[in-house]
Amino acid sequence: MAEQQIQTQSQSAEHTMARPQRWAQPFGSNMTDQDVDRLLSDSQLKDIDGEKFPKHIPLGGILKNDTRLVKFTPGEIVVREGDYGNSAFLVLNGKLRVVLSPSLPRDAIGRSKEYTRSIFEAFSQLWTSNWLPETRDTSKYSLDELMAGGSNESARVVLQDIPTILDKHNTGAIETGALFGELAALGRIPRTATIFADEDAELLEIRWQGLRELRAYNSEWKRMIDERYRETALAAHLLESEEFGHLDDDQIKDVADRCIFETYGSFDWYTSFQRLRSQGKSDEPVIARQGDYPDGLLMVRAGFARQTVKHGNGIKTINYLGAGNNFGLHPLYSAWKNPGASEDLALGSGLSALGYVDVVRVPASVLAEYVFPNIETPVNTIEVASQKTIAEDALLEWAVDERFINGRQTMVIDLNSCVRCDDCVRACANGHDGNPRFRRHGKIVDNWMVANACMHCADPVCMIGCPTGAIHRSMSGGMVVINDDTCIGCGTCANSCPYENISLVQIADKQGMPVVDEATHRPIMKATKCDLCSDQLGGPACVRACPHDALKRVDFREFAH
Amino acid sequence: MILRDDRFSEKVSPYLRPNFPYVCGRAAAWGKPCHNGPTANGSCGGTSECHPYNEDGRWICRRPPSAGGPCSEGPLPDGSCCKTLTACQPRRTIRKVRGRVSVMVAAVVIAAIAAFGFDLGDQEQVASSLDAGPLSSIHQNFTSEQGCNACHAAHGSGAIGWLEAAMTKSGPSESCINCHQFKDPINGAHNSALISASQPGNTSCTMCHTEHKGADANIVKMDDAQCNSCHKAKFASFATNHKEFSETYPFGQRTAIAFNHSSHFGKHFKDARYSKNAPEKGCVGCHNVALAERNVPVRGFDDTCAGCHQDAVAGREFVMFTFPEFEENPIDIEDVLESPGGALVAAAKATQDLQGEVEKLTEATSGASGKAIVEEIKTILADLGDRVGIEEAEEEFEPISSETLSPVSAELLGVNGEEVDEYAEATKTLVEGVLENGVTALAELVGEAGGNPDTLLRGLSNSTVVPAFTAWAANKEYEATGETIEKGWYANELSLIYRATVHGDPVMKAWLDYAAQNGSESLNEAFLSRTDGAGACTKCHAVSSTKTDKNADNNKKVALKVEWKSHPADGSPLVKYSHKPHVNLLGPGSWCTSCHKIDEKAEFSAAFNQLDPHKFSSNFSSVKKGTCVECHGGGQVSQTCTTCHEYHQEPGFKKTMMRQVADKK
Amino acid sequence: MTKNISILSIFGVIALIVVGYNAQKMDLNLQNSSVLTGYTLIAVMLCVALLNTRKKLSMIPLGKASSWVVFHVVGGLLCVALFWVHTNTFWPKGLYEGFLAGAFYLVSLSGIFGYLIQRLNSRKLTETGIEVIYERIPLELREIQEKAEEYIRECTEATGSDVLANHYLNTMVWYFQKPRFYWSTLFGAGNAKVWFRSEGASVKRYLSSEELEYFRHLEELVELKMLVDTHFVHQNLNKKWLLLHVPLSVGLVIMALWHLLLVEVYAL
Repeated sequence: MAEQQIQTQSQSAEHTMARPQRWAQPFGSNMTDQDVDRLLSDSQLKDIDGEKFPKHIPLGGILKNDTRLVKFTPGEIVVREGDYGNSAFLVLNGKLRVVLSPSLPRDAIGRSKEYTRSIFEAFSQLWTSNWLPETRDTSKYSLDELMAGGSNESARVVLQDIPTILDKHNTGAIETGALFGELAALGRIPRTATIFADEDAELLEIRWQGLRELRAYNSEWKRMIDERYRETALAAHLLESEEFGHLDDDQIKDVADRCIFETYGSFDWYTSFQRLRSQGKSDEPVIARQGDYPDGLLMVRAGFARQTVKHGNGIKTINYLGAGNNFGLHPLYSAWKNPGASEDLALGSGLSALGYVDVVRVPASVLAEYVFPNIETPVNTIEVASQKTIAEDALLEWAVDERFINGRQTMVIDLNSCVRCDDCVRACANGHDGNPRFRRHGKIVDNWMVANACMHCADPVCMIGCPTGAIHRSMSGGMVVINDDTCIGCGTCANSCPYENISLVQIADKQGMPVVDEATHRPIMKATKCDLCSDQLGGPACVRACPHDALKRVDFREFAH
Repeated sequence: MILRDDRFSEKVSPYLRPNFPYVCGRAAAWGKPCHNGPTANGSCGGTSECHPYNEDGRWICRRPPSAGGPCSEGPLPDGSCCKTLTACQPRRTIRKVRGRVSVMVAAVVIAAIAAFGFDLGDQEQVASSLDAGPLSSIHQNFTSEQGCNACHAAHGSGAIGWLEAAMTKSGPSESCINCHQFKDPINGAHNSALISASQPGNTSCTMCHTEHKGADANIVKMDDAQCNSCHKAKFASFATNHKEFSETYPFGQRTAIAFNHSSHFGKHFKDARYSKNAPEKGCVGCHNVALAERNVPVRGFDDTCAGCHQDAVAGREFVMFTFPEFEENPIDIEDVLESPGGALVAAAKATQDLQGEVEKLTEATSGASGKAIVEEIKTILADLGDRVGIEEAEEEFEPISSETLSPVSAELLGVNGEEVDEYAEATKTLVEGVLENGVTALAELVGEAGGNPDTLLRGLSNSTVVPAFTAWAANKEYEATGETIEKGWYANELSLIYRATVHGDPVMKAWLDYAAQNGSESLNEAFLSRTDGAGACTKCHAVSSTKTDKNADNNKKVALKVEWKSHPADGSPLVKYSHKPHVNLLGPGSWCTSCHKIDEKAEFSAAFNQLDPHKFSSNFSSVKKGTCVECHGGGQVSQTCTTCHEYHQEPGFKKTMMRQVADKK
Repeated sequence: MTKNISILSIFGVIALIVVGYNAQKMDLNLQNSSVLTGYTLIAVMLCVALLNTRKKLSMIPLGKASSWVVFHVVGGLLCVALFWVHTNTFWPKGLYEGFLAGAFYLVSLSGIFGYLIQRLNSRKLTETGIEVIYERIPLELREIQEKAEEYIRECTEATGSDVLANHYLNTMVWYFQKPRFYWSTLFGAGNAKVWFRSEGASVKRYLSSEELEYFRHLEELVELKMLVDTHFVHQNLNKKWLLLHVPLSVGLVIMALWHLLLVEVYAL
C-alpha cells in the first residue's frame, strides 16, 4: 500500500477515466439523428422554436438524449398506477386508454420486486467487503453496459382480457398528439393512473429533465402541460378525495372546471431554506390567515403547509397538511348549515406554505352543491388540536421548523437508549462494501436525534436538479436511490438536500488508488446516500442492528403525534 | 466541530468507519488527526495532505474539499505536496484490541489446558484438569499403583481412545468388578438375577457410590432416599409407614426339632421329676447367646436335651433281619456244613456228638479226677453248645421261626415280607450268600437296594453275622453268648438288630436318611414314624417332604428328608437381623421374651404329624413391627433402611485385588 | 426493551422450572441429573455467545439485534441459575472446576455490570445536551483549544495585557490537552468545575472588564470541554467493559467445552 501511495505521485500510475457528462447516458440508446429530424418535422414538436433553447442544451440534443421512441402493442401497459416515474409520454400515433376507476388489481398489472440479493450473495458480503473506502469496479462504467436511468425498456406488462377491463372499469381514451405522465415526472409523485395501449402505438418518452427544458423554454408547452394537469390529474385527484369521490364524470368535470389552482412558495425552496433560517427570515408564504372568512375549501395537492394558531407572541403549529388533506371544511360547513350564526364562520387557524405547496381551491358554491348535502358535520380539528399543551406539541413544532415532516423514513435515534456503539453504522457499512451511508450525528431535540441519513422524502427535492436522472425513485417501495453507474458527481443533489443527507465521495479503484478524471486530473466524485438497503435482504440494516432498539425509521407525521 | 454551525454538512463531516481497525496516531496521542487516516494495513496515510497532479507542466493541489479544498500554497516544484507531516503510529481501536485480547485469551486457555490438562503419568503434577479430587483413602491405597486407569479405562488412551469413550456409554462402574464381586449381575437391582428379572433398567455402581469426595468420605453410607428412589412403595420412615411384617414373622416354616417350648416350660420343667434337669437360666440355658447372630443357636443335644431325653434314644432299636418262617428247609445242611460257617455247625454237631460221648463217658468214669475232667469238658462243650446250639437235623423240617421277614429286609430284598412264597427264595439266597461271604453279602444287598453299605452297615462284623446266619441256616435259633449287648449290631435268636444308644448315632442316622430318600412306606413306618420309629429320632426331628423329580418309573415320588439340624432363621437375603445387639442389654437372656412371647394356644406338635414344613404353628407369637418400633422409632435408635436391610448380595472381593495387595508387598 | 426482557424472562423462569423439576426427578431415580443440567447449560451458553456473531452478520435477515440482546440478557441470567442447579453449590470443588466457575462468575458479573452501566451512561450522555462522536473527540478538543487560543490572542491584542494569556498557559493548556478528571467525571462529581472555579477566582481579580469578557468566553469553552469530557468518559466506559466481557467469554466457552469432554470421557 505504501508503495502504491508513492506511485500515485507520478502521473503515469494514475487511474483515469473521462469525466461523465450530462448526456453521456442518453435516455434511449436507439435515438438516431433521423429520428430527431422526423420528430422535428413531422410531429407535434415541429412547432417548437429551436432558437429559444440555449447553446449548451439544444433542442436537437434534448430530443436525441432526453427522449426515446417506444412502441406498444395492444394490451401492453405503458405506465402503472403507483409507479414512480421520471418521464412523460407524447403519443405520436395510436390510441391508449387510461383506467379511471376503480383501479386495476395488483396482479393484473404485474407488480414485481426489484433486484435483491440472494442469501448467499448477502452472506458473501462478509468477506468481499473492502477496507479501502469507496472502491468501485470502474470497468462497469463503460458506456455500453449501462442501464438507462430508472426504467427497464424490455420488460412490459401485458393486460389480459381488455374487454372485461373496459367493461368493469371506467376508462378514458388518449388519442394521438396527447401528452401524459408529465404530472408524475415533474411533480415527483406516483403515476396517478394506469395507461395501456388500445391499438398499436408509438410514443415519444420524454424524461423529465427534457420536459423541464421544454417547459422552461417554450410557453406553448408550459400552457399545455398546465392545462393537461387540470383536465386529467385534477379529476383524478378530486375523485380520490373523500368529499368528491362519489361524483360521476360530468359532475367531476363541472367541479374541475370551477376549481382554482394555486401555488405557494418556490419550487426550489430548499436552496434558500437553511440560509434564510439562519438569517431569521421566514420563508413561509401565507396561504390563509387566521380570522379571515374562507371562500373555498383548500385541498393540498402537493407539498406541505403548516396549520397554526396564534399563541402569545408567536404562532403555535397545531398540524401540518400534506397531499390529500384539506383546510377550512368546518367553518364552510357551519356557514352553510346555519347561515345566521356568526361564530364558527371564520377560519380558526392560519395556513402557511412550507417550501412549495400546490393547492386546489374548491369554491363554496361547488361545495354547497355537491358536498355538503351528503356529509355529516366535519370534525373541528382546531378544537382537538389546540387542547394539547405546548410541551406535547414541541416535537411537532420543531419537526415542522426543520422541515423534517417531509421525511417518510427519517432516522430517529433515542439518545436515552443509544449507547453510542456504532453498530448501526457498521451494519450499514457491511451492506455497502464497507462504506457507511449515513453519519450518526444530526439535530437533537430532547432525547431524539434526527441523524443525517436520507429521509426518503415525500417531496424529494434532491431529484430536481439531477442532470442524468441517476437519483430516482425506485419502482417498487418508493425509496429514493442513486444509480451509482450513471451519477456524474456534479453535487447538485447534495447541495439541494436541505438536510445535508447526501455525501459526495471520492472514489478509488479496487486497489485503492483514487480515480481521477483523465483530462483534468480532478478526482471523480459520486453522490452517496442511504438507500434503505433496497437491494439487501431484510430491510434497513441499521434498524435491525441496533442492540437496544434505539434507532427507528419513521414517517415523521406519525412520529410527531 | 461542535463549534461549527455547519458541522453536519457533508463537506465538513465525512463518513465515519467504525469497522476500520486503526485510529490516527496523532489522535491517539490527543493531537489533531490528519484528514486521511491510517491505511488498511496500519501505516500512516497522512504523510502528505494531497497528491498533486500535473497539468500543462504546473503542479496543482488536489486536496479534497472536506480537508479544506486546494491549499493556497500549492505543491512544491518537484510535484510533492507542500504540507507534509511526519508519519504517525496508528493505534488499534478498542474493538480491534478486544478481538486480539480474545484471541490471546483463547490461546492462553488452550495452552494452559495442554500444559496442565493431562496427566503426565509418573511425573509429579503440579495441577491437572484431570484431577477430580482425592479418592477415599481405601480406594486410594489399592489403586495407587495403577493410578487413574484402575477405574477409568479411557485414561491415557490417546485422542482416539477419548473419542471412543466420549461416544459410548461407559463409565467407572464397569471397572468396579475388577476387584469387587457380587452374587449375580452387577448391573441388576440388588445384584440378584432373580430380583432384577422383574425390574426394568440397569443399575450401575455410580448411581449410589460416588468417589472423589475426599480421603475421609464414606462412600458406602446410603440414605433412605436412595432406597426409596427405586422402590415403588416408599416409606417415610420405619416407624411411620414401613409395611407390617409378614404374619408369621420371623418364622417361615416349622422348626426342625419338635421342641414344644410351651409344653416344656409350662409343664415338663415344672415337673418335680425333671425340674433339676431343666435349664436354670431360662432361654439362655439352651440358646447360646454368645454366638447370637441371626439365630441364637441352641447348644447341642448333649448340653440341653440329654438331661431328660438321653434314655429315649436307646429305647428303640431296629430290626434289620428276622429269619422268617419257611415251609421247607431252605438250606441244605450239607451246604451249611461246607460253608465257612459250616465248620461251626460241624463243630456244633461234633460237639453234640461229643456231648453224647461225654455223657457216655461220664457214666463210665468213676474216679474223682476223671469226673472233674469230664465236668470240665462238659462245661466247655456246654459252652460251645450254647453258642452253636443247633439240634440235630431231623428228617422232618420244622421251621424254627414263625416270624415274617422284617420289613427292612423285605424292602431290601424287594419282596413282600408276609408271603412266604415271595420271600423264600430271596431269603434263601441271602442266607446262602451270607454263609459264603459273610457281611459282604449283606453289603451287596444294601448296595443293590440303593444304600451305602459303608454307612448303613458300619460296625457290622462277620463275627456277629455269620454265627447267627449259620444257626438260622441250620434251623436253629441263635443264642447270643457273652456280655450283654449294650449298643450296636447284635444278633439275637432270630433277628439281626441294631441298637443305638447315643444321640446322633451315625448308623441309625444313615438308616433314617436312607428310608427318607427311599420313600417306601414300610421303611417310613419302621424308621420315620414318630411313635415307633427306630432310634426314636423322629420323635423330635421333623420329617419333611421335598419334591423331587420323577423317578425312573415316571412316578412323582415325594421324597422326604429328616431335619437333623435346626434351621437357620428363614428370611430374605436382603434382611439382616442380628440378635447380638439385642439380647444382652440387661444381662443375658433378659430380653428374649420381650419380643418372643410363647403362644399357649398354638397347636405346635400337630404340625409335626404331617410332612409339609410350611404348615405350622409356631410356639411363639409372631414378632410385630410395633415391637421393633418401640426402640427403632421416634428418634431413638436408628431406623434407616440400611439398619436392617442389605442391598448387595454376597459381596466379596476378587483374587485380582488380593494379588494386587500381595504384589505390593 | 425492558418490556421485552420482562416478557422473555417469564419464559426463562418456566424453562428453569422445567429443567429443575426434571433434574430433581432424575436425581430421585438415582440417575445423574448433572448430565441434563450440564448440557442445557452449555447449549444456552453457546446460544447466548452467538450474539457476537449475529452482530457481524447484519446483512442477513437473522432477526433484530435488539431481540438477540434481549435473549442474551435473559439467557445469561438463565445460565447463572442453571449453573447453580448444575453444580448444586456456589463454588465447586476441584481446581479446574474452580477456574471454570471463576471465569463464569466473572463473565456474568461483567455482563450484568455492563448492562446496568450502559443504561446509566446513555442517560448521562443525553443529559449533557450535546452529541459527540467518540472517534472525533481528539479533533473536538483540538478545535476547542484552537478557539481558546484565538480568544487569548484577541484578548492580548485588544487589551495589551498578558495576564489571561499567562493564566491560560499555566493552567488551561493542561486542561485542554486531553480529557481530564476522569474518575470525577465518571462518578458525576464536580472536580473539574471546582478546579476551574478556584483557578478562575484566583485570576479574576486581576482582570479588567474587557478581559473579563474574554474570560467568559473561555469559561464557556471550559464548560463545553467539560461536556466533551463527560462524553469521553462515559463512551469510553461503554466500550471498555466489553474488553473484559468478550475475551473472558471466549475463554469460558473453551474451558466449558474441555470440561464437557472430560466428563464424557471419564464419567459417562
